[in-house]
Amino acid sequence: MLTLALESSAKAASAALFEDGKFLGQTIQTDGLTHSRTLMPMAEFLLKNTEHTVKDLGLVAVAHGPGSFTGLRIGMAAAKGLAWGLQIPAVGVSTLEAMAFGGPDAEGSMLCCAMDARRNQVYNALFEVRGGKPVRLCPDRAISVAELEPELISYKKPWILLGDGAELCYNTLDKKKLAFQLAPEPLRIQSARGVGLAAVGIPSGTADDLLPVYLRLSQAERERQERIKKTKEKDHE
Amino acid sequence: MPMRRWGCNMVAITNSEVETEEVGEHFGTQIPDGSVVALYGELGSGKTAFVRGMARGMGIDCLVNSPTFTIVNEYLGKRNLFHFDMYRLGGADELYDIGWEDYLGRRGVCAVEWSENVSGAFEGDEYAVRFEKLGDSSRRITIEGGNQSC
Amino acid sequence: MLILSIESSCDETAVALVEDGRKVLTDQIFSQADLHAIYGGVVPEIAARSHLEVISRLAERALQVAGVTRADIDAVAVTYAPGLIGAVLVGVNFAKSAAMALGVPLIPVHHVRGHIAANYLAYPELTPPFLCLAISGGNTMLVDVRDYCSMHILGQTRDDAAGECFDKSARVMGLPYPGGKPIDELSKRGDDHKYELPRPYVGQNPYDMSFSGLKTSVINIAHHCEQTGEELDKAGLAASLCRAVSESLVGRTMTAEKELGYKKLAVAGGVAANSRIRGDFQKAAQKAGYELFIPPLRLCGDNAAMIGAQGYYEFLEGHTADSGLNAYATMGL
Repeated sequence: MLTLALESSAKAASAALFEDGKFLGQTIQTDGLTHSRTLMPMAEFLLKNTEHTVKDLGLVAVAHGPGSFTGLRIGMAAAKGLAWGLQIPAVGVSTLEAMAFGGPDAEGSMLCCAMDARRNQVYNALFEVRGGKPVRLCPDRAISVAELEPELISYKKPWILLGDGAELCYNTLDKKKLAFQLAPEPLRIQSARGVGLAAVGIPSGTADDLLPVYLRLSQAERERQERIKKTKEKDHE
Repeated sequence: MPMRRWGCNMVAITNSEVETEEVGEHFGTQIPDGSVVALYGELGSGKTAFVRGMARGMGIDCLVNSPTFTIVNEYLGKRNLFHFDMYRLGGADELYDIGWEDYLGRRGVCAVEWSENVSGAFEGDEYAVRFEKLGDSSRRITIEGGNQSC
Repeated sequence: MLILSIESSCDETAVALVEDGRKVLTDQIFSQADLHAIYGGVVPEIAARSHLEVISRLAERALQVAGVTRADIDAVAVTYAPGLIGAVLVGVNFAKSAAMALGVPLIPVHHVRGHIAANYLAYPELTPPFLCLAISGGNTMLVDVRDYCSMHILGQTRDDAAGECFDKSARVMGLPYPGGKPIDELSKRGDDHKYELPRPYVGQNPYDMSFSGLKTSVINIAHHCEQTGEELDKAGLAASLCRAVSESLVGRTMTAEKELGYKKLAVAGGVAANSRIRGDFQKAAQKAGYELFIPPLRLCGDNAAMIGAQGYYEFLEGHTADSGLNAYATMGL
């Protein structure tokens, strides 16, 4: 079955093709024109160059968040149009999970996936590579690097930092308290290839079922304030 | 039109829409890219006129209309000005739904009318421009904040 | 030729099926009331502008209601400008990949051209050239429609839209939002000469308009009454306001019509529902011997049928796009 994977949650845009789980190719662009101009032409290019037509597609996979509000909408709307038009299933995967699947895969690697979310916060999730695949250790969340640090320390293992928030983490985390390094650049950001790999095994739905997961900062901010308030209340008890 | 300035604050009294535009124009010549300008003031207090002046001051030759219905107007030129109107929005959460965060990432200045409706959404380094009606056509305009002097 | 058309430029998401630019098979406009119908009772938390969440459902519903299949669709038309960028992008990217999936052409349509084209749906006999006054929530412009795809803006508002003037004046008078209808109702009981409101002169272009001064006057009148304890004659204020807005619009439109000599005049957009404006146009058009076209209200708001209508004519002119179509917040007519 031919699967098209799309990724447009941050600065880069990419499209990838898989046939029965085998990776056929990817086009990725990290700068330049807006995703609305580049994403679907990338998909067309891949289909043409692997001698397929759009009608050969059996599944569309797309990163559904977190990430840029506009970028996610572009990718998801495009995925919906294809799924609806072709009457094929669609599946959404977490951007952070796609990032992990496209990252370093040495057994036991601890992956800290971070996307810049402004206000010194990152969209973040943690993974451990077991049996060649990243296994999720926590849900996707928006968190400050200061709050992330003690959690990373608690695992007592060195961390590999991924995502466009990796440098922020790298420059903020305390080298004296824990070990960490940046993932090699080609493996550091989320990509359509990662989306395609992460999508394996996730139940698909129709175009209608595809929904964005924005992890809004304002909501996350409120939750954070709640957490801080609760901690303060506990301290007063 | 008399202007007093102290520290990073500025106060101006205007007696017509044209004068309000002029204050905005002067402000527009000073304001750096990446700034958020939060405008506060009741109906008809001169917010759009001020932004019209800002655009001129920023060197953008564009028709500046009220964004009440469109929510955001983009004025693109040598510099970019993104003109928001939160009149129809219910709160800070809805700010996200209109792509606010992405606008912050674009190079330009964000001017926000009816900032009262989205209190808590700004990060603290924004300029606050407050419009007070002193009479039928006279206004007191107070500008504070940012980390540059105006 | 059957066109699947998509509109998502601001508040509404809509999908329509239009035949040969004139016959509407269905126009599915998403509104809050539809939430329950679509989600069958269990409604997830959706933001007001939830284009992404509903667009594929609307497209499917359009096919079902119209009784057509995907194979019947000959092209996909979509609003690509102007509008709220996050909203327009949803429509554009859904449309481009749907067009790719269906193997049909993609037609980009300008939103205001769509509003003008709503007239073709209401009046099959209307063909360009004609003069069109477009007065919707966010637009107030006088357009010389020379041909289906050739338009020239003669004048527009330099500040507030006419509809906005009604909405904000309504708020000041304590009337509900949207203010157009309550002001209209109230004005029927009032003296339209009770208050003197300014007729702004805009300068360089005589066809340009301005409504923010009117708004400010209404605010000042209400404020004065509050301060002096004098009772505000709301009906009189509403009537005076309607007269002022109408005179601003009708006067300029009739002058432009005379200059152009088309003898055909269309008024598109939600503000056309105002009875004073409608009545004044009917009188003026009749007196001058012009044909007047004002579409029904349901075609005056944002909808996808108008995009399908304009899309047909854009297609005939060869205006199609490839999969790199972008969305724009601003775009000239």
